[in-house]
Amino acid sequence: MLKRNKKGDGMRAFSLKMMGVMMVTLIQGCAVLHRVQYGEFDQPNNYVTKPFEIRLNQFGFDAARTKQTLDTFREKDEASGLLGLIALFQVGPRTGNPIYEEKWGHNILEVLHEKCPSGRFSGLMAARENREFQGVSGEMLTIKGFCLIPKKSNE
Amino acid sequence: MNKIIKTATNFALIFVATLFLMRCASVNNVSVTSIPAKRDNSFKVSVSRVVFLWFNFDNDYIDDLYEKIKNACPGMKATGILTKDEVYAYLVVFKRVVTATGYCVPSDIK
Repeated sequence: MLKRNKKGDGMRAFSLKMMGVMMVTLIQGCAVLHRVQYGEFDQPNNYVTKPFEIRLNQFGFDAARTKQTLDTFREKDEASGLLGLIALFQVGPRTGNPIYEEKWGHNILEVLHEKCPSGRFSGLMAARENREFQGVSGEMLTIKGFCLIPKKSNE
Repeated sequence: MNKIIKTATNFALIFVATLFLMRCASVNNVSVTSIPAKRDNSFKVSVSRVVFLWFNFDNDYIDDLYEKIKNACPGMKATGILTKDEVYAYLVVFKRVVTATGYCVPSDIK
């Protein structure tokens, strides 16, 4: 009897550890890199290179994936049907999950000029990435680079 | 009978080993910046990450390419940069490689 209890405790501890690993995985979300592009990299002697980073985030939602996940946990109902209907509007070529902001990234040039008023950029890197959490995601546009500032003026 | 089982096991092992060794390559993205007329001093740098299944929690490895480009052209301008983003799939393991090739030219900013 005592032996069986010990075995049960061991199984419980193992299950808890596995749940912990799964929770960490779900909370972290998987990072996906869709595309990355590097620009020219200039290092003139009389300029200081100041690094900057711009990240524009949006909430992404994949109805088909959410429907699939929900269907594994419970019987199909009206919500499942509605998600199926929404999924029909999300077909077609895309990068990452669909978002609900059509002007996403439109102001990227303004943000770039705010970050670097001198207007001299170097080593611009543009990446399109996202973080997946079972049907919902964080969609990201990332721009990193360096602002060239003249050494004399120390702008 | 034992001989048949041994042969079948060997075949299965070779099959599994082949699956692991074989890799499928795919290109996600290619981009190029303006190519200079003077192309004497070229460079090629790359960064990579090995991912098991979908367990990838950040894309920070691409930041290292900056340092590599910077070191490839010290005090000069790196131009004509061809960026290639590739994935090599080995059954359940994926290797992501970002390669940048380009040319070092004297800086045109005075």
